[in-house]
Amino acid sequence: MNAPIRVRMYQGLLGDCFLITIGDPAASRDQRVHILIDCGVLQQVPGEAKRMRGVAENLFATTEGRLDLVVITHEHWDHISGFKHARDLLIDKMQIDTLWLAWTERRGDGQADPLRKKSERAKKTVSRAAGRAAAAGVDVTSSIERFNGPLALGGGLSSTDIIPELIARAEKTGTVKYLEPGEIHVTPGEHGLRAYVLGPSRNPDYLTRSQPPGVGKQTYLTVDFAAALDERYAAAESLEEALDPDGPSPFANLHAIPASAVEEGADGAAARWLWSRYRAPGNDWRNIDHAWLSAAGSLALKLDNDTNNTSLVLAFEVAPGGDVLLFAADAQVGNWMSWHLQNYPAPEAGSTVSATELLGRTVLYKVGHHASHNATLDKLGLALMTHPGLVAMIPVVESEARRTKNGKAVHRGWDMPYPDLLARLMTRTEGRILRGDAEPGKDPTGKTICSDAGFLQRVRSEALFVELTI
Amino acid sequence: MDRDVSDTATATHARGAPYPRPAMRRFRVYALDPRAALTPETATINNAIISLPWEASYEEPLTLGPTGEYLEVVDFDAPANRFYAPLDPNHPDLLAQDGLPPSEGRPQFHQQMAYAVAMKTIRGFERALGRKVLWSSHFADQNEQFIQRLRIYPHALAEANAYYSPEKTALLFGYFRDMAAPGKGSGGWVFTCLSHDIIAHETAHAILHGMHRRSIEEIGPDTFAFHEAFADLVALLQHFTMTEMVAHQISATSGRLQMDRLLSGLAGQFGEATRGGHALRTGIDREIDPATQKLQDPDPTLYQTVLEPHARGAILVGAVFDAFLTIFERRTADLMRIATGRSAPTGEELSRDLVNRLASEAAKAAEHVLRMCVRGLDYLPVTDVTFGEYLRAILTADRDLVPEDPRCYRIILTDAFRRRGIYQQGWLSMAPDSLYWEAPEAALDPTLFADLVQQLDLQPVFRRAEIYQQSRNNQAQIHRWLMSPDDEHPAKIALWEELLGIKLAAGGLASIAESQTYKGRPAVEIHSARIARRSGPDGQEARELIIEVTQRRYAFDDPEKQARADKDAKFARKNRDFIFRGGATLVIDLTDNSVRYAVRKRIDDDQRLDRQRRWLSGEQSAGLYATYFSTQAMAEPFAFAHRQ
Repeated sequence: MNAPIRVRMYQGLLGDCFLITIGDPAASRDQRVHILIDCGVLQQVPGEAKRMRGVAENLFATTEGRLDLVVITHEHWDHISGFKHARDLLIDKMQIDTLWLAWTERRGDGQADPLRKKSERAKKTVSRAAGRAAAAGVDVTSSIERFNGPLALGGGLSSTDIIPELIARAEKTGTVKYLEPGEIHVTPGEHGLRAYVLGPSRNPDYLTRSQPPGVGKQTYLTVDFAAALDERYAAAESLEEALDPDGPSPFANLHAIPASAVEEGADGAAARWLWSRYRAPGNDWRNIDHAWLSAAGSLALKLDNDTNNTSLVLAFEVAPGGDVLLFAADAQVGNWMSWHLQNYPAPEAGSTVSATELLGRTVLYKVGHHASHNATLDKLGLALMTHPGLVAMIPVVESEARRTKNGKAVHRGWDMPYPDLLARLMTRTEGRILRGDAEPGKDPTGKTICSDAGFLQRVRSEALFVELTI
Repeated sequence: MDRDVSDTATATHARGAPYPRPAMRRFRVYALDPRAALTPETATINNAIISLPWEASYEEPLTLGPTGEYLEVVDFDAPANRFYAPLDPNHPDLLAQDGLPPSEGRPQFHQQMAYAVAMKTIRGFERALGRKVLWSSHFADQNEQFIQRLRIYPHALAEANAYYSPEKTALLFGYFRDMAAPGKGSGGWVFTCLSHDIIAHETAHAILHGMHRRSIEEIGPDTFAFHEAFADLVALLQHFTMTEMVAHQISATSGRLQMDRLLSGLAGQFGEATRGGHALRTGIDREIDPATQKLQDPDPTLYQTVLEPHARGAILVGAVFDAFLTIFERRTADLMRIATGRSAPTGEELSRDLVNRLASEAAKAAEHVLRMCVRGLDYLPVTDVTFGEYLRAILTADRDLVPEDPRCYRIILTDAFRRRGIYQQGWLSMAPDSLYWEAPEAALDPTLFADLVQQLDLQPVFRRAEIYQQSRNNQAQIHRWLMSPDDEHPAKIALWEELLGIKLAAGGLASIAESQTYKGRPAVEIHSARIARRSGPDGQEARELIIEVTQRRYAFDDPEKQARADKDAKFARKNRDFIFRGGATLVIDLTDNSVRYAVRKRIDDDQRLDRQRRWLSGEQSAGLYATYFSTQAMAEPFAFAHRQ
């Protein structure tokens, strides 16, 4: 006999925070299992800390201070910042029996370590370039600061520290597991669910692909995606060298005239000429002192997408061969495509399960990356989710994602939910969509989008969350 | 810089009659880029000399920088926070040896090459256009300023990127270390300012922007792609002006240029460092069938599906380059028959004389195709250019100059577009005859413009600053003339509105921006008034006045708001989401002052508005940067397009 399963999505976050409860919620603590999948809210969301605090308190109370399993999908702020905002409750006091992370987080892994090291180094460089531009009064980071991203935050536990802190805590109170694509794990407890690990891939080609495939493939010579990642880090290295005053330079010093020597009435005709062309009054608008620093912006964005692509993606099976709960984190195109590269050895002797089959059995889809334009694959993804009872959960706050200040988007690029995708989800689920910013069965404006009474009966909502019984 | 060339003038009294002035200034450059100098097959042909006409009396003399009439090279290495001394092109040591010999380690050679290649690109344009190249004006405190020179920064960025900055009227070149692919990368430095293709590409961006100020607004799938494609075409076709290298490649491929990957590839070294060993882009968009050794047909669906500007631009590049190859084959079929007894090359080695003749035919064909492409620019609509419209502009401009098409160039070009699926709804057919722009409806008195032309200053002037001023004065004159017609009769106004695709009378669409000078009436901008003199291959002469008339309309993401704004001017002005433009390019034949064409984009075309709305909303846009970096991308559109 299966135990009841509830999936709770904390709302109003513009970030992911899901709690799966297996067993009767009213039963005593040891009769039920709690699984937390991510806990975060995006930066610059008004009242983020307070809101997150409320969520953490609710989590702590619901779980009575013990989590059977914590799953961290990737290191982005909107997935883990809860552990910073409520560190005392969620790290210091929380007992974590098991922590699941993607192989990319394993320290000592031959593939993960160089990736992580390079990525951290690249992020530091980007952050330095941004900082230097800011010091010069140039706003090259205005568009990336608020992004999830790589830029370190002032003080406290920064995004790169949270995961090591969590690992340390889990090692103290329980165990840590690093999941490999193609593996099957079982969640703790008597009624453990099988968890199929779909991504992230170990194939470097799929780790970096963030754009829909097929763009320009015919006309451009095929771009090697592993090389694209190398190129990214090479770009960061270039920038790093340039930021370093003692870094390598292509020209011998005898050719160089230090910037400080180029002033009015300087010694030497060349320096005077350069001053008159570059520094003399009236030239400001054409000067390029800081133009090179804006390379940091595009680099930050690419690094950010790389991280999304390393998302841990899990398909939980409610019963062997039965319904599937798909948690796609922020996986982008490459990650989705890689699910189909492997088969999954079903514990039943001799059989394997394909990603297509898992998608076909999916009854709950945690929509990737807050329903952005490039985090739900169509033909190899949504089109395969054919279950008639499919429900979609979108952890999004549209008004926040699209908020503008002085005519400019606060979270630039957060075109979420992406209208085309939302429309397709509406069709696929016949309106069974639960959003972070709407009541069950309604859209954010209060308009009814679903009248499936059977579905609505399975949904319960409180001030902080909405909850679906599977 | 111990001595300046002027020092030698002290000897003037000793030499009797003045020496003749040299006809040309010669500068040594890499024919392609430094990488080609390292490969044994290409090393011998990679040093080229660019000959530029010596400055005319009405042009600024060439001085330190180099700084000349059109360009100024200022070598500030921003990442390293240091400067490099400017090249002195007049130093006797350099005059006597065609400038500095190629050297990656000497920044002054970089300055020399960037200058020479950019100048060569400019001169090529001027020959085709029949007038001087002017840069986009600078706007400071609402004032439009003439910008004499495009600035070139050879070492501005520490990344694999180079771009034209419309804001600074400058080309910014980056440099980086080739570390991308282990084993392949040399760890050596790559300078984008030493790539012939990259310099030509960026210069072409700047020239195009100077001609069409609105061309850098990304308002549809083709607008940016067109900019990129055009810049690529200029770079690509310039390869064929270097006949020594062309001859080498023709010899290597036994005359089958379509098999060549060096001349048809763009930015080889850059591509190798950043794209894993291939040219950055290529002009040939078709695969060679291994069985037949012929090029396979292009994919006609790409135009419908590919949106990224460079990739989409490659479709247009592929079409034009294909036409070039066909033209080359047809031009040389007789030579091949005379020399080998066959019309097409068979792969057998060709004689040296034949190779040289073929190379010079390739240069002529490339020059011809480039001229066709450049001339077409004057016949483009004022906004929202599509590839199909560009084809029509090229065909029309070419027909006007060369009424007959004995070598079928126009048919070849049209065919190359057709096979790539570049056509538009509403076209009668893909025959050149039905694609020429049509003369405007005859309802207006054809002599109307005679009155206007009388009022304009059409005297030939040569100094670019004067050309600019003359054009500005003419623009103002045209504006006055247009806004104060002799005949205020509503029917007449309606005819004018029909001709120009804009609104002139008050009380039309309230969402159209209001004139500051003529209160209550829609604002009209005269974007340019250019005089072009062109001569065709058989001495045909064409003298035309090209006027661009535009109008702005406040536009909204939400069609319901739009409907309200179309009736409520204040609401429209205060709440607009974006600007929608309309207007016409008028081509006036100065031999009889008649309007030959009015290429229109109607301001009240709500279907076009809806297309633009959908494009801007990102429904079609695939570019990450278009959404993530919207504000920055507006200011430096090419910086981001190229970082993609």
